[in-house]
Amino acid sequence: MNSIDILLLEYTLGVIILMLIPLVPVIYAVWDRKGYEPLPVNMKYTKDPRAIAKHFDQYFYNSFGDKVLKPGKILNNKKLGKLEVVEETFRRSSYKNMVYIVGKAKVPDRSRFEREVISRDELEFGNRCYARVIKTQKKLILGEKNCIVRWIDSESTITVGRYSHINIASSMSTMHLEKGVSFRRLYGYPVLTSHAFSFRKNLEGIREEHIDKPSIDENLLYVPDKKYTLTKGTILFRSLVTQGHLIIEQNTKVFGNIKSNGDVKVGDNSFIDGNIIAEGSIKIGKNCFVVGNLFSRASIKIDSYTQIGTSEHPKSVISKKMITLAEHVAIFNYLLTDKAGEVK
Amino acid sequence: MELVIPILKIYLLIFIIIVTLYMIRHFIFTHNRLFGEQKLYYQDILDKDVPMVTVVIPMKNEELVAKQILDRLVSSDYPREKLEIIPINDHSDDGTKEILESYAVKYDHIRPYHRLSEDEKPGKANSLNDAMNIAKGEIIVVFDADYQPPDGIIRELVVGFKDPEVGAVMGRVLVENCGANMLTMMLELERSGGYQVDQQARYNMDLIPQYGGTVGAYRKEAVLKMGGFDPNILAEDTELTYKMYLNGWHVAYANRAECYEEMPEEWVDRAKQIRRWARGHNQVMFKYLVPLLTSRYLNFRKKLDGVLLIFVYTLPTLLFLGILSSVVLFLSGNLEIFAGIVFLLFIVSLGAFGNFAPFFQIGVANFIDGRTKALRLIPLFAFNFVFYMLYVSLGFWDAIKDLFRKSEPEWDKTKRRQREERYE
Repeated sequence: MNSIDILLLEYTLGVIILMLIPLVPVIYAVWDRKGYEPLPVNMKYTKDPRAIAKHFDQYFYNSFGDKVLKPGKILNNKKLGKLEVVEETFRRSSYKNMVYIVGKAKVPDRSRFEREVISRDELEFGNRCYARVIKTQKKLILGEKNCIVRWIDSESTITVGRYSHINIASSMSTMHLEKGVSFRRLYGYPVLTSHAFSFRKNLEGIREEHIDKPSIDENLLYVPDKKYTLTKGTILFRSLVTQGHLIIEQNTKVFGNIKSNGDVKVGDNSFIDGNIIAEGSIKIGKNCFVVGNLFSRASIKIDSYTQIGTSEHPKSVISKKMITLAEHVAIFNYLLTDKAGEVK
Repeated sequence: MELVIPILKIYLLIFIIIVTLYMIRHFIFTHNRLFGEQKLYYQDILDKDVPMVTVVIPMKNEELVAKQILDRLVSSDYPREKLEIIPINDHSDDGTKEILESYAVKYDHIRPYHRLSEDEKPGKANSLNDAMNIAKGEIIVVFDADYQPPDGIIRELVVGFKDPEVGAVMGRVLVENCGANMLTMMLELERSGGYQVDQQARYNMDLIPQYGGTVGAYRKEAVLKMGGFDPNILAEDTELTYKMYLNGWHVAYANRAECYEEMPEEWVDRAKQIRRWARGHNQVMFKYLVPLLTSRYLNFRKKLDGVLLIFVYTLPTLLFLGILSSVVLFLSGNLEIFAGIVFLLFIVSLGAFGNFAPFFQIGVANFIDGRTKALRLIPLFAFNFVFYMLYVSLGFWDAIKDLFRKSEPEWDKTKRRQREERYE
């Protein structure tokens, strides 16, 4: 063997040894068989916007349910920690433990609850309060500039005062939000950004008006243009897909779904009987009525006196970025944003 | 010989460029999944107005798993009045028919369809075509018989059709029996790379996420208008993907619509499965490559991704030929070690460690899934790739033979195991 052959042999052996090194963890993995379990899938999972509250409820009543919750008591639970039972008179302004409020109560201004607040009765918070969670079975009223870090839930109406932050809120009844309220997820029957707005209860007189017209053509109207405009007063009876931005001018009616790979702008007094899906932002003008979902991978802005969905046809407003609601807007009944939502 | 050597050298050079292109593609996908903006699927939409849905389950001799999937589907949270389940009994000669009939008696929304006549040609594509003709639903959801759909999955898949541009939706497949042996665990790692990174990245980047033929859904009218499924093509899922895009539709990927499947536990069964997939995929390649390149609905990026996707099951054959060429060139003294073989091996090993998904893609996918211990098995993919190369190449030659034979290929069913049996 000459020196080149030896070099080649050494090189080959070196490569083989280097290639065998990664097999050491393989042998160990085959031997100990750890981490071989299938990824967990919740086979019973069903989408429910009140799932957190329901789960918490179940957990709470499983932990404390059988005990007599009398004011003044402090109960202890291994999983949930300490529970302080209080009544309408709040002796302190700050509570570090979980608090259970007996009877109808009014929480004074600037109260601070580091953990959950639970009540089976009506609850009213003053201004500038702080809580982690509020869970009530009856009416809940929050004053101005409150901050709820995680979520609130009520089986009755919720009213949120000006400039409060509520993160996640769910209600089995109407949810009133005043100006300046910020949120990430809302669920109500419906969510109203005003007390005074009288929303449409159903679709009577809107769909019927066009009953003699041709039915919605499921064939897409495909528009490859960078910008497309549905002019003022147009009535469209088919689904529409645009590659670019879409402008729907005022007093337009669309009976079909809309998809835009750009932004969508809907003019005032328009009626859309279908979903609006946009890769860009969605802007809905004043006094519009959309019986469909709004889904944007950017932001959504809804102007005043506009209604999304009805009690019979509840819909969603979903945005990857910002959701901005003007005052006097009604949403039936779900809003979700990855970033932040605000009533302006 | 004078002519052969330059040809082999040119082939090798072209091959290295192609493999490098695939590597760049997978690096981009992995980077996108780790650091890029993730595209929101529609699963957060809550809407009471849901379309009529028909769940179709093609079955051939599925007595071991038929009860399991039907039990799962009857507990679905999708409104019963909007749901129809059609298990297709495709010439079964075991107890499948009796099981389906017993469920039809108990549940009025289960309507089995028996394909038993000799006039009815067997095969998944034929079964799906028949199902579409009798289905009441406007959306067809497809599960293979060995799948275990969770209660909420139908809603999660179907909600994607709120987008009028979406023609098909694909969910994520998880291996239920990954703990059975080393093969199933490796398959789960590979699946994770394929779904968690590859599919999601293609969806994020608005490329071509693939409809996978199960844990998926499509618009019935759209597919009927496109002529249904071609019974001569074994990969009806890949065919549907290309048909959709060539007709202006999109495929949406629902990463959170997860469903367990049963993977083959023996290498022989896996070999047959890969060979069948490769055959079907290459049939699609022969049929749709030209229409893909000339489509008016697809932009350059989509066309490029579509071409790279359509050649995925051709690549191992090209690799096999590449290795042969390099060996010939080396033995004939026409290949310098450092300039040729080492570079080729380097590129190939990067690409081939994970076979359909490179090792770094598998690593990142399982990291996202929170499964890191099983990643110790990744070096085994270096050997697995030889196995894949062989059977994918055989599938490729089968597809070439099909080009000339023009006959309907026979469906080679994957062997099932009963769940209880597996854990004894």
